[in-house]
Amino acid sequence: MADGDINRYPYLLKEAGFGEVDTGELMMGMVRFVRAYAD
Amino acid sequence: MDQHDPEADGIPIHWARSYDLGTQLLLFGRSRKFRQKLLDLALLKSGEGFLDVGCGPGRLVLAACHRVGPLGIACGADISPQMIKLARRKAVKSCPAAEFVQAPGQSLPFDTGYFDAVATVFVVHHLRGDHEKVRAFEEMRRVTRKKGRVLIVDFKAGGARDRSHVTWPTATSTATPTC
Repeated sequence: MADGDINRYPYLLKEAGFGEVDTGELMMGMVRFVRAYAD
Repeated sequence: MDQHDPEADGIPIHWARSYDLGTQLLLFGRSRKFRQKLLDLALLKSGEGFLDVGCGPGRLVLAACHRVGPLGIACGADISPQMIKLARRKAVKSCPAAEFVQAPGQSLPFDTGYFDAVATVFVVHHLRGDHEKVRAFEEMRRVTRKKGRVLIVDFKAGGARDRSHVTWPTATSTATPTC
């Protein structure tokens, strides 16, 4: 069972207390990144 | 009796050398460039402190070690003792200042606000369910200084598929903060 939908990570990061979050893609869209800033 | 779920801390990968070779092949010889890109995304600069959670064989930590220089800190944490052993062996040749500790992402043996940037690459999909992911994110936030960065990189379509072949160890953390 897949358990790693990265599209949901920004919401989980907010739940973990992060403020600003930005996202993007790497490797022709096969890989995504989420960058969060501690505040 | 309340028992610790061994799956909760994530999947420890014990076949360190094969994993290391496999990830190099997966990146089609562009692994060095890929790692530099990740460090760029983490906005890592000379003199800063960097932690890679689920560092595996430590290649990103070693790249970070060169970037942060002698005034910086480059650390890796991984739940697998085999990965830590391999990473330490690589560090002897490449960047002896790099440090590696055995620890799960949900329980990092570092002081609050210790790092400027924390990264975790192809790891979070191994954590089962939202609760464990949020726990790991909270812990990464704790060890990151205010205004510091946390970079999460993962496959677009999720990764943890059939885990029935994995033997789960008892989750114990013997790590001591050395970074």
